[in-house]
Amino acid sequence: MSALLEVKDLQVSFFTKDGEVKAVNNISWALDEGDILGIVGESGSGKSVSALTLLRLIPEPPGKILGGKVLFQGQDLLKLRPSQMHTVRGKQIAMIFQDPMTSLNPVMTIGNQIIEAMKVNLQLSNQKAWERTVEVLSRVGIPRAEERMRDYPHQFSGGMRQRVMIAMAISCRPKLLIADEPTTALDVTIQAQIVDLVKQLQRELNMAVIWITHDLGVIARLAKRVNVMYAGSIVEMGPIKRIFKKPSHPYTIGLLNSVPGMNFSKDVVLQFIEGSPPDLIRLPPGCAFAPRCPYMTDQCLVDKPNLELAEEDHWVACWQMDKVQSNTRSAL
Amino acid sequence: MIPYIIRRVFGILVMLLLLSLFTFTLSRVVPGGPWMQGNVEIPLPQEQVQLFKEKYGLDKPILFQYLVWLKNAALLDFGRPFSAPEITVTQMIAQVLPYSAIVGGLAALLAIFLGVILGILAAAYCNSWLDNLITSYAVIIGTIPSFVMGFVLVYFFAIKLSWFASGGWGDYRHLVLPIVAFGLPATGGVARWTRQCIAEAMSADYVRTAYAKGVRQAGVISRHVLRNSMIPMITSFLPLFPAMMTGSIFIEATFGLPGLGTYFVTSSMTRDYPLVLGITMFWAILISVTYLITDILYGIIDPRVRLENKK
Amino acid sequence: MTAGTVTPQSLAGNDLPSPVKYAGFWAGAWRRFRRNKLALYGFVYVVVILFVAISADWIAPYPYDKINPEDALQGPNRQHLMGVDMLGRDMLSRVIYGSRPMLLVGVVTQLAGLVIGVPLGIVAGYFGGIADWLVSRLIDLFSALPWYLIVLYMVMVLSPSLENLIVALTITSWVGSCRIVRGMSLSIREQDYIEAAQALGLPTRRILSNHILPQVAPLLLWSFAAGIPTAVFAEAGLSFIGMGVRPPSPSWGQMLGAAGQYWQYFPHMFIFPSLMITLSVLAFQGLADGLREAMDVNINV
Repeated sequence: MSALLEVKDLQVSFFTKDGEVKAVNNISWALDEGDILGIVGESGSGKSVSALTLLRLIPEPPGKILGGKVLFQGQDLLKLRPSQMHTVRGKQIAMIFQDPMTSLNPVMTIGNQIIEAMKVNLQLSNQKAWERTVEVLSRVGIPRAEERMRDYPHQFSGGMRQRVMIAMAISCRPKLLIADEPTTALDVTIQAQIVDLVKQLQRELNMAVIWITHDLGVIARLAKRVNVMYAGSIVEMGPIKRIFKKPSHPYTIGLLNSVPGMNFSKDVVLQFIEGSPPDLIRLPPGCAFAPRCPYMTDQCLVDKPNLELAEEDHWVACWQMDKVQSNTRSAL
Repeated sequence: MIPYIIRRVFGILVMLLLLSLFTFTLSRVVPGGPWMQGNVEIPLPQEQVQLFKEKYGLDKPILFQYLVWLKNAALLDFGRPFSAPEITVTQMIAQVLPYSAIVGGLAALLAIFLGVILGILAAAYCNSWLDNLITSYAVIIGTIPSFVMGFVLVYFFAIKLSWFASGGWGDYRHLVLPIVAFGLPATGGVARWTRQCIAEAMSADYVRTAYAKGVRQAGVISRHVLRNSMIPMITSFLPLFPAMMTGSIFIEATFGLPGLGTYFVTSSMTRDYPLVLGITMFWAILISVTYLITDILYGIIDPRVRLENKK
Repeated sequence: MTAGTVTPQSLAGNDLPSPVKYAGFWAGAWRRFRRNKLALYGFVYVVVILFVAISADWIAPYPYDKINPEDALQGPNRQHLMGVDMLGRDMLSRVIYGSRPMLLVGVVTQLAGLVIGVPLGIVAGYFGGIADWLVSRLIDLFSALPWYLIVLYMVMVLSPSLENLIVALTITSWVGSCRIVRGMSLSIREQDYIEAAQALGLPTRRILSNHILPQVAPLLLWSFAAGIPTAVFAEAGLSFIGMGVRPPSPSWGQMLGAAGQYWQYFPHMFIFPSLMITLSVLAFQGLADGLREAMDVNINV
């Protein structure tokens, strides 16, 4: 089945007065219809920037898309003029963001905000838009939807607000939903509810989902595939089961290591990855992770590794891939 | 909302009380009296001074004088000015007010109109050469004192070009220069504030969400940016009116306009107590009421405040 | 899992990204300040004008009060670079001496305002209770009328003079810094680290000087600088209407006012004082803006 979304050699930088921040360095990946992809990485890994680029939401100064293709259903979105993007946004690809309080217009009722989405994308009449909005709000779990439509964002709790955002996003039945750290600011229990909600909606609408997070737990619960990003590049990608079973990049291993298991004893020292992420203005020539990597060799410092096949459909960017694999046991 | 208004009105009354006490005491405590001409005492025979004092009750203890004044003021009777006993203070203020109100009010209108347009342009073309130009203009023009501006305008337009009058009162030709001199420097501040409000709204997260939903630029600006930026803008611009209506002293001096400011100055210098107090109270009430209206307006148009108050 | 506790080997001789040198708050502020051209202009101007004011006795070509009726109303020429006023006094000298009241009023009123406002603000914000209530009422009182009215009134009643002008302006300017300090003290007081300091038994004075003052300092510096343009404007305006510096002591505003009707035919009488006033206000305004940007002050009090 041909891919719904194909990203090829995407490069995005930000030109600031301190220099060029290389936020996304030549990444390529693909997503099928109905697939659920998780993008994992820490702050500054380029995960959010790459997602925002898909919808051309990067402010053009200081940002700039330096190269690459974003093929959505065969059409290169980057070739569209910015003023044409509105045909894709909301209708084909929708996005929800991290902080629902600031991401919703504080002086507009939530009902009107959702109706706005539907009128702009589907050209529905006011009446129909109203009815659909009530439907979709109920579907995401907002009780007494018809009353609550007249309320403003500040009258909802954090979890409810995120549900409103989700309702707004799926109201036009997009083929792809991008979720940029939507649960990071929420309680753990609410987090679980939101994740489950998205899972259900994904099944019902056969929607592809890209879920961006730094939290491996969420990924484990939801995603079928994973891209692990570091310093603007993808260091490991593949089906989640395979990556968890046989993590092959030192960074991925470090990430998995640092999550304490549920039954860890008091004597186990919490593991962490030494060092800190690199300055994206002054990236080293070789592998960006090398300075922190226990397997580092001279070649790692000089040559940047490309994604190579470790096993079927499992890609890793590491010169020491074999050594890493033989050294580690399964995470499961 | 209603309890809030009541509390505010009460606060205003308390403030007026304290202010009147302050003004009253200050004027009485300092040596001299209404028989002064510009801080120079006119040598008057003692008996005349004594007669004068008795007539107006100035020989009684200060507190007594204040309470008498207060009692009358509560009934909106501010007495009669020493310098013009044939009319009441209220009537005098009413006579003189239009000069200040018209010049100040129209100047504020000019400042807001021009300033908002410039501010919107600057924000729309944020960080471009237009933005820099407008911001520089705003900074420079905002620092030119109004009376300096008055001089410049009079020199070019009244003397050299004879388009407008350099002073006095009459038709539009007498009004244009004072209004422009007063209002033009204020456009600077208005433009900068407008630009800031709009730029802030434009860079907000909800604007990003609106674009992500598929809303086009026109819709984003009208439904999201403007609606949000209007709130802080309106609440800042409304107080401009009383500010400029009360602050026209320098302009009145430059253009020889017999406005409220001029009368405040002369009545203070000649110790015309009733008039001074009357004008002070009038200004204080005007300003406080405007702020109250602004706050109420804010409460109405911002749903975050409106619904908090209802709880 | 066995991986991941080995520290990376030393990496001599490789071009690792060099760390950005952490230079401290004030050094960074200075760097940002330098970038603002108007602020730099302001800074240079203030230095120059300070020099002029201090050395007025030496650099002024004539005494400022030397009356010479025969020479009156000359335009700028070689003996009198800025011309002569209607009493025959040299304009350049008067302009030079006029820098003194401008600086005095501008700087002294703000400093005095700080001296009053900061302690009051800290007491109100940090200790709260009745002290806060009292101070807040005072602030309200002085905010009810626009400052120029209060200043005007006080000066008129106290009789116009430079000293009274300074007193009156001080009384209206302390409110600004007081508000800022009070607001900051209120919010800092709620922070956890203050609770920690108190729990450790630190004396209040220490808490104030080590925790609150350093955070408040940039705001105060900005408030000080931001109040100066208003004070300069006030001095100019009040002297203009005769309520400020009394003749023969020159002040630019006073020179404008005294120019009366003459200036319409002898524009040099209004050009130079106006120019100086505008340049000064601009300079101090630029300084204040530059400081605000440089210290990244958020004045949401």
